[in-house]
Order: sequence, then C-alpha cells, then structure tokens
Amino acid sequence: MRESKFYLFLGLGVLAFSIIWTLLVFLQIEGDIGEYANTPRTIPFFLGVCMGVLGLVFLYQYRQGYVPKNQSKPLMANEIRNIGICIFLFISYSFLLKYFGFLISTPIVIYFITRFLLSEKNWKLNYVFPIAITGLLYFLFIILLKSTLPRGQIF
Amino acid sequence: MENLGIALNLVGTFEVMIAISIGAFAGIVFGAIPGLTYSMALALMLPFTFTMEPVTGISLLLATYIGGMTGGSISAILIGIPGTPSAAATAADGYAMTKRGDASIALGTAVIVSTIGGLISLIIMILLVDFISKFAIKFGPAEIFMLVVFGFSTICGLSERTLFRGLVAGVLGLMLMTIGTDEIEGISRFTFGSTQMLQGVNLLVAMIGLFAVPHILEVFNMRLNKEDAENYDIGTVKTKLPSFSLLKKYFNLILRCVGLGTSIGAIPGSGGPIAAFLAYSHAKNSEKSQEEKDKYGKGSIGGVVAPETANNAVTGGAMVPLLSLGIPGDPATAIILGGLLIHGLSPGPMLFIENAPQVYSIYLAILVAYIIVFIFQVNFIKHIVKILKVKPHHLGVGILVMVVVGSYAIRNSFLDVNVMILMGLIGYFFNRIQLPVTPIVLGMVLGKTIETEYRTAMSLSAGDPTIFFSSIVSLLFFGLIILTIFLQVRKRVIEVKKQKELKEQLQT
Repeated sequence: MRESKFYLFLGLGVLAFSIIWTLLVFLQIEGDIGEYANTPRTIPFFLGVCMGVLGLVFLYQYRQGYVPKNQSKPLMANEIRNIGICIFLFISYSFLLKYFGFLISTPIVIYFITRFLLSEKNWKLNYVFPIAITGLLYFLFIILLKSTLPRGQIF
Repeated sequence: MENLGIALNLVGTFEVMIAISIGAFAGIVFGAIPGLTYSMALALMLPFTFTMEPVTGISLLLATYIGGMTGGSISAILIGIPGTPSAAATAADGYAMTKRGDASIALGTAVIVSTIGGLISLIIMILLVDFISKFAIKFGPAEIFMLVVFGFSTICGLSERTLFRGLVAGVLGLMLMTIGTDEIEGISRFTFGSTQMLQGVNLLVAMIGLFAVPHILEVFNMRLNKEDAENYDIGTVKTKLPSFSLLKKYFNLILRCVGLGTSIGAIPGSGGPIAAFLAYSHAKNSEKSQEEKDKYGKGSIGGVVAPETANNAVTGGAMVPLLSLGIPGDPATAIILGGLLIHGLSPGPMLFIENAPQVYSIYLAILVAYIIVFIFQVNFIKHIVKILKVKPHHLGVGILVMVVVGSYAIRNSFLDVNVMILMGLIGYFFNRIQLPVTPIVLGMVLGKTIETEYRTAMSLSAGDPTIFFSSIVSLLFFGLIILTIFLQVRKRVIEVKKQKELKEQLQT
C-alpha cells in the first residue's frame, strides 16, 4: 500500500517542467543544430536534462514506496483563496504605484489592508499607521538616501 | 598598514556609524521576532544600500547579519521559541533558566559569548581569507569551474533536506540565471521577444521575493483564517553580565566552540543551526561528571554558552569562502555578496589586489558591529523586547510596502516588482512542499560564474573537455564533488532500507 503520493506528484511536476524548459531551450535561444559543447544553449540544455533526471529519481522513489519523513499539510481551498487575495493585493498595489505614484497609493493600500482585510477597527491603525509608514519610507528613500520611488504617470 | 589607515578613514565616519547602528538594531529585532529571519532583514535592507557609499552599504548589511545572529537568542531565552533557526539549540537551556528566574544572567551570558565568539572567529577569518586567496589566485577557468560546482554540490546536499530536493532548487536557480542576454555571445535567451527581459532576473529582486514574501503570505493567510498568531508580552527584563570567574570556567569550551563554529561556517551549505547543535552536544559530552551532564536541558549555563558562541563564530567562517573565493555558503552571505556586487566589488582573490582598503574596512566594520550589537543588547534590551508585542500581521503590512517599493527602486522597473511577486509565490510553495529555498538563491549567485568559467575553459581548450581534468587542483575538486554526492546517496539508501525494515516489522 502506498501512503503518500508526494513523490509521484513531485516527480511528475519536475519532469514536466524539465520538458518544457528543454523545448524552450531550442525555441528561445538561437543557435546552430550540430554544435553542442560550447554554445549559449549548452548550459541551459544541460540544466534541463539534470532537472529531468531529478524528476525520474523522484518517480523511482515513489515506485520504491518511499514516504517523506515529515509530511506537508495538503493545500486547502481557503489557503489557495487567501494566497490569491494576497497576490491580488501585491499586483494591485504595483498597478496603483505605476499610475498614481508612491505618496497617493501607499496610504490607500495600507488603509484598505488594515481596515478591510485585517478588519482592524482601531483609529490609530486605520489612519495613523498608513500615513506613518508612507512618511517614514518617503523620508528614508527620498530625503535620506536620494533614491527613487514611483512617481506615477497621471500627475 | 597603509591599507588599514585608509580603511580606518572609510569606516570612521559618522555615516558608517549610523548605518552600523541601524543595521544592528534591525538585525536584533528581526532576529528576535520568531518567524522573521535575519536573511529577510538583509533582503529588505538591500534596496537602501543602493545609493549609499560602498563601505556604508556593506557595513549596514554586515551589522544586520551580526545583529540577527545575536538577536535570535533573546526570544529563545525569554519565551523558549528561537527567533532564528540558529538559536534553536539555545532554547532548551536558556528557557529553562528563565523559568528558574535567571533570565537576565542567561541573556547576559548569551550576549557576551556571542561577542567573544564572533570576534575570535573574525581573527581566524582574516588569517584564513588571506591564506586561501593567495592560493586561489593561481586558479584558471577550469579550476574555478570545478571549485564552484563543488561549492554548489555541498550547498544542495547540506541545505536542510535531502540532496535531490536541494538539487531541484539549485538547478532552478541556475536556470533562472540563464534568462536574459548571454554574456559571451550576446544572444538573447528565454526572453519571449520582450526587451525588458534582456536584463534577466535580477538577483536582488529574487532574494527579496524569496525571503520576504513567503512570510507575508503565511501571516496574512493565518489572519484570514482567523487563527491569530500569538504575541508575547514579556514585561521588563534586563541583561546582567556573567561574572568573570564564570567566563573563565567556560573559556576552554568557548574556544573549542569558536573553532567548531568557524569551520562549520566555512563549509558552503551548512551554517548556524548545524554549528549550534553540534556545539551543544559537544558541550554536553565534554562535561566530566554525570551530574553536570544531566543538567543540560534543565537550565545549564553551558547549554547557552556553547550554541551561542558557535552560531556567532559561524559569521566569521561563512565570510571565508565568500571573500576569498566568491562562494557564499548561506542566504545571508549570498545577500551580502549581492550588496558587494551592487558597488562593483566582486569577491574572490582579485578583491584583495584591486580593493584592499575595502576588504580591511569590511573587517573593521565587523569589529564595530559586534561592539555596537553588544552595547544595544546590554543597555536597550528592555525596549527591544517590547517589539515582540507587535502583532505579526501589522509588521506584515509594513514589509509588504517595503518589498514592493524596494524591488522597484533597484532598477526603477515595474517588471521587477512582478518578478519579485512570482519569486515570492515560488518561495511560498517551495516551503509548503518542503523544498529548500536557499539553493535557488545560491544557484542564481553561482550560475553566472559556472557558465562563464565553463565556456572560457572550453574556448581555451578549443572544445576539448579534458581541460577540466588536466590539473591536480581540478581533479581534487572533482573527487570532492563525487564524494559529496556519493555520501549523500549512501545516506539516503540506508534511510530507505531502514524504513523498509521498519515497515516489514510492522506487518509481521
């Protein structure tokens, strides 16, 4: 009886990735067919093969019925949803930065997160915290370090 | 001596002192908060070092590293949860001492042995780095290629889990580094026709994503599931330095643990946690009477001295392959390498010829960082523990803003922000399926060297691969690579066999 399909999935995943990668090596890097040892393709191709071998090793371990020592928790639906929300947050923050700039989008995003996502109803966290972080980072990046922050395209 | 004078001038500025203080503080805080690691603090610091003077930036990073290594002991001692994995071995005895009411003496001992351990390992490091770099400067491309592959194989083999899982991560890191323009022939690789992709995946951006984002995802996920993470209210504590006679009693142990920590640290892929646990069991076994041995785990001061000395001695050891050969052994040194590269200092034997004053200022910065970390931990511990009260998801919000803005600021590119998010997702899922993340970063760091040296060697020999086996040094490294892989595979086979036997026993 096999208790864990972990190595099966890991092996298949790694193998699939290596096949896609190896195909991309030939599609995305220009080069002559026939010369192998010293071209821009050499190392990427070799890495693809390594990945494939590793995939086969995991499949072999699955066939041998080897079970990982400490099992990882299976992915839950709500975990995927939560991670999705977080990624959406990241992407929308980066989108807002692109168009509205740092000084406008940062307080809005932080307010949104603390108020609605983390459902905090403390006025300090809702109003002072966003402004404090924005001010601190602005001070550090612009005034102290003379570095850059997104300015936004609209204003 | 002349170089030392220049270095003194470089480090002895107000700016550098402020940078070291900020780094030390941030390191201690990130080290002390369970869940946040000093690797993460270092990754968050990187964007700030961009516009600084080289020495200021590097000092900031070094101080963060040292503060983090030392700060991990605070939560290990006070709440029994290690702030960083390196402090895990300290938790048993340190927390037992706290329960007995000896928290301040445990904190004081941890601080002072950390400082002693770090400073002695700094001296060993200076001597070793000098010796190795003089030897390594004679290496040709074939030797460097073999050396880096050897470093890479120990990194994948030793990092946390099994060789094969480590290799998956390592190979992925090497793959990521091949994206973009090929440095030798200028051909574009894996760009899908996008001009922005020509620059490739930025190492710093990837590090920010891999080390900081998974933590944010984890914390927010917990909060959204309404599982509130604990926060710790400790009350007032102070640090009390141990008496001189106590230090004298453990002086031999300290010296041995420094040796152990420095040598473990110098092996790429090992690091703080391994050194600390080895030192702990060494201290226990070296006690002469059974009575003393039994005290370990129940609040023996030796159980704090040994791991804390060893994990700080690792900082010196880990800098040896970094500075002398350009091979970082753990995430922290990889990030410091990133910081050095920003300012055009590429570690390796040449660094000592081209940038000798900078090398000396690195040494001085480490020395100053230890002193400042020591002062902070002794005098401001009361305020530092207050930060443990902050809820993790509130910190998460701040970190979220910092990672997005920081990864943008590196090259003023929004593509980098997206790459950072993607790397964060990879990091999170790697953590979830228990693949190590560290080899990805080290693969990315070493990828360029591996490819460039391979191609240069092959060009030199006009395509004849025997160049890699034509000198004693490269043959030696090749032997070591084979040995590393063989030992790992053998260990694995024995484990599988044992498991099978266990299963058969259960069935009968």
